[in-house]
Amino acid sequence: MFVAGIDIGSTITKIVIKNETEILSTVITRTGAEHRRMALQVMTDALANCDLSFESLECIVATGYGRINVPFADQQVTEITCHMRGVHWLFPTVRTIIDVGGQDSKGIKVKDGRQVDFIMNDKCAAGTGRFFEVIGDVLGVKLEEIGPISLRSEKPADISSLCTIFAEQEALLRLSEGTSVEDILAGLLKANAARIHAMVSKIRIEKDVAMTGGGAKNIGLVKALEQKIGFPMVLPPEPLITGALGAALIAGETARSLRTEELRAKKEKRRLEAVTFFDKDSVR
Amino acid sequence: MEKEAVKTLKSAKTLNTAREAGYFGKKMLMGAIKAQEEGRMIGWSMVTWWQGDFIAKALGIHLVYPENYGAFCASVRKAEPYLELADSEGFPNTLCGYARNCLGFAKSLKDNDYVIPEGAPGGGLAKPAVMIASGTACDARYKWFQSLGRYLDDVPVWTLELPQPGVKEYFLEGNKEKNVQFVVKELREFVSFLENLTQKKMDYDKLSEMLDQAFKTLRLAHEVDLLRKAVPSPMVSQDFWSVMLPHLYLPDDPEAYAFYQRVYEEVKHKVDNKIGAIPNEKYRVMFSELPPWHSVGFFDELAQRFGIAMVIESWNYHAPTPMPEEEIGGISDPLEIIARLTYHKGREHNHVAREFDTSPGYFNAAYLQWAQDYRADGLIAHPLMSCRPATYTLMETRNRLEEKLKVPGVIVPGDIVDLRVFNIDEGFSKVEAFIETMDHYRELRKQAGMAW
Amino acid sequence: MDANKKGLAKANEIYNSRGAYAREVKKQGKRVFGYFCCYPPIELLSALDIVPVRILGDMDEPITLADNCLPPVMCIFCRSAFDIGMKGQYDYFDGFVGAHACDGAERTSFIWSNYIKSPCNFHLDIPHTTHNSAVDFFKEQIEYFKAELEKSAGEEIKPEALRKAISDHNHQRALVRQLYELRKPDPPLLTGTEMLKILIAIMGMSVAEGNLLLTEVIGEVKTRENVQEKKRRLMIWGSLIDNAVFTELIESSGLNIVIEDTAIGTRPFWHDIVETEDPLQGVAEHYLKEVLCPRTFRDSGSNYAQDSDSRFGYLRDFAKYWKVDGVFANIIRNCDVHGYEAPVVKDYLTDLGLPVIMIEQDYSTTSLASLRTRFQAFAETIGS
Repeated sequence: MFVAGIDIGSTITKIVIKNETEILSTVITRTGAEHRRMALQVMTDALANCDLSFESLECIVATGYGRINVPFADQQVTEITCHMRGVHWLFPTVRTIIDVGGQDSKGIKVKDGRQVDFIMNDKCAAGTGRFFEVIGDVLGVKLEEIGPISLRSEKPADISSLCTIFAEQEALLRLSEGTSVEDILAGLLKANAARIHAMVSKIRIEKDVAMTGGGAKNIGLVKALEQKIGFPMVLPPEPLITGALGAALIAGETARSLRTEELRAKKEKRRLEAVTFFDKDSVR
Repeated sequence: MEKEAVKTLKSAKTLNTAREAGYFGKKMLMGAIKAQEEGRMIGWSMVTWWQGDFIAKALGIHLVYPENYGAFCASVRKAEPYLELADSEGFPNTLCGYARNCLGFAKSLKDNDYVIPEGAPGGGLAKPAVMIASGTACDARYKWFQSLGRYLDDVPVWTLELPQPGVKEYFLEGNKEKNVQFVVKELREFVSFLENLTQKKMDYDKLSEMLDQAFKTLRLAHEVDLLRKAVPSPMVSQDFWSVMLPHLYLPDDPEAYAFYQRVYEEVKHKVDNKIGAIPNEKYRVMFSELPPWHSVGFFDELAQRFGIAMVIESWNYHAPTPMPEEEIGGISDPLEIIARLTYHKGREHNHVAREFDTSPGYFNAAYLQWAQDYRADGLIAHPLMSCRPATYTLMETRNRLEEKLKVPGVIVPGDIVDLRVFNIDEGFSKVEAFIETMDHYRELRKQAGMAW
Repeated sequence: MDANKKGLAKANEIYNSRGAYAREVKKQGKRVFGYFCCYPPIELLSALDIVPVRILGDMDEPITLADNCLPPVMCIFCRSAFDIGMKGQYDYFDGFVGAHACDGAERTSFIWSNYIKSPCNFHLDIPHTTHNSAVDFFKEQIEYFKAELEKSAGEEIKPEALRKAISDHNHQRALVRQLYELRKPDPPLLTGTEMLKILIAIMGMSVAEGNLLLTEVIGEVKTRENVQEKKRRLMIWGSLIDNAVFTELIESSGLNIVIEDTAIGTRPFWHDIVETEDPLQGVAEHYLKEVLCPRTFRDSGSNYAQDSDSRFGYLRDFAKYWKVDGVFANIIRNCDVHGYEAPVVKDYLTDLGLPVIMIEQDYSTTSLASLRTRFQAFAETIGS
């Protein structure tokens, strides 16, 4: 049985196609403006990667910021539940998940394979991809270099941790005062980690702690967070796909729980098309 | 001694006595540590405008003031870890900065089995036997203590009641007396409550003595306020914010009275010899309401750059205007005296509010009177991000001052705990631009034939 | 207004145009007074045949005129209410009753009376505790309120009129509680959105008209074919919600709102005024002790657990009888009284095994969309 999970984030779209036991194909790409086109694109690419037809997918679950813009999805589930399921499948001992994405960050508390509490911050850019893209521009550093460069610092600059807007101003001030880029980056990461830690603490951090999302690929942020928490975190091999993975797992459950006729009915309604915002059918 | 943070901006002050006033802050801190060591009861109290202080002290309870502790932690840049703790405990970050500092501290205290954690700023606060909250002026001042139950499990909270009528309602026949009697009744309950807690009986003679001394101090502090009307101004806000500690927290202490006698002399000397607090007084400016504790030096700069003398400030911290003899004379019940004193403080400018058709009287109308008494050219209004009660009525005060007295106001925002919200450079720019506004309104007042 | 509309349809119409309804009522010769919060004893207004209108804000209206009189960092609901007042949306008030409910309500009441003039104006001071002397004091203040009303009306409030008003309002409370009973079934016979509109409608009608409307609605709802799907059952605690867009968002995210412990919810209606010999005694006791807003300091029990149970035990009962699956702790940004209370309430409810989602929101319809994911995720959490 083949299923798919698609996670349309504000910045990056991910898809996972799997069978009962393993992941067969993943695609990760930038979302851009047209969510619906992107959904079609990644689906087509992912299918091609594992040589499957669209019809062979028993169930498709969409999640993420753009989940309502996947016309061929059978079901929509929030990214909170999906991240939790994905991480739990990979690491059953995880009790706390910290997801740091393109524009928001979340904390999810897990118990016995179910989420019991969560917290989201979509007002504050602390630690998110958006913040680091801006900082990278300001300091002339590529996004993927930020983490490694920050690790060279031996004396992180003292940056305010209460608001990232001030943090940006302070970064510039430090630069003009002659502080090194690595110290500034380390200071910023420390401040951001403090913000994220404060948020996740509200749901009480318990071992094991996993980190997902683009933020988990920033080694500087990972280290700074681990320092705040006091112990190492568990990192998925590909931190970006846990949401899509969880969605795929839920798709599998749904497929198993429905009778054959119900499944067939769902599949018949589905169309693999690039439905845009201008189609008459695009109003939900 | 704590290391001073780079960004705090201390004031040099202008009075010698103001420079000495730090003694009382230290005395309070040392007193608390000593009380702990001697095993005396500690009480956490809000500023109650003398409503609860003497009663508690007369029964042997040593009071510490978490609001003050919050300001202290902020000024030495040690509030942040407590704010983070309060955040992670689920308390919204829009709540009072002092409260969040205290909530975070209380959690750290609980986590350390109620032993004050090492490195706690200023020696920390010991676990109290009682918390004295107040319903006056601000909801945080009882909700915060109530929510501390999470960390201070078996510590009782008493909320002192103080009516807060509207301006018009205050003048309704009989309302004031009824209000006062309500406070008296409540104070009797408060005494019983504390007697039960301390297993002691109230010594009313001692209480009366404390009151006598306190009244002397408060009266003298008020006399100093009156001296400040002189031109040039003999004493500025930077001085007041240091000098105020003994009359606000320790007016029953004979040392406080002695101190005020020296303050009075120093200020009188300046008045008699027309010596200004600042050398080049060009503008006389009022300030409302809670100061930027961490950056009082800002006003030194204003004096230097623009000749601005901060002539009067922070109504809520001042000693009350004296009560008329008809009201207070002949009353021997110390509880009634206390009730009248605190009630009077809150209502003392209601007649001004009525005259200017504004409300409320507190936090607001004082400045309408003061603008005239102190011949003010302007108002610096300082809205605080995490203190709404001291901020709500600032715009009303500014609007009325402008409308009724042709005294303009400028808004310079800040916060009581987050130093970064106070953008000092922006503050200077705003005040610089404000100079022109003050000049303009001076002209308008002149044309209208006003007295200043 | 369509005179033929009844029941839910009528409630819907009044909800959508409170101002129009009030202006029509005035044309019929009645006086209309505005009031802030659950605390002003509106029975006194009804005794003089005055229609009490609860002052609300407008989540759809960007705040502009309030900027000159009130700072931005304050309870957004109060600010919004004042803003639309300044824009003339309440210019039909014959009187204004402010109250010292919380700091926001108190200060806004003062600023309101400074800038928006009404022929009759009273500010009701409310004590902070429920001590006996506090009840006595509150009663004194209510007596002053009564005197002011009488002066403005040019007539005395006769004791029988007051008793009748109390009885009518108690009847209204009982009718509202009947509606709450109709939300006990699974799925509830009435949605949270419908309930909100009904309550807002009656908070702008005379007590008699309101009771009539409630009776019609009860009749309609009782005999309804089941209108909705079974979803997770949600209780709301906290700051008020006064806009159906918000409840609609929640109820389209996999949740049915079955009971709300808010100011436009159970708080004004849950307990009847005891008909004491001196009617104002019962009035004072009721409003101070039985309107369960956190602005009143209720302190009992010698430790945290006991104190919490004494203060919040009624929530345990709500959860039990309305078979609640989860709780939404609603805090309008800058609401201090609910802000300090929320973590404590959350502790209490979590200990009872109830999942709680706490959200600080900005009281504006434009910021609602971002909450959808949270509510959906919460529904998924309590559903798994």
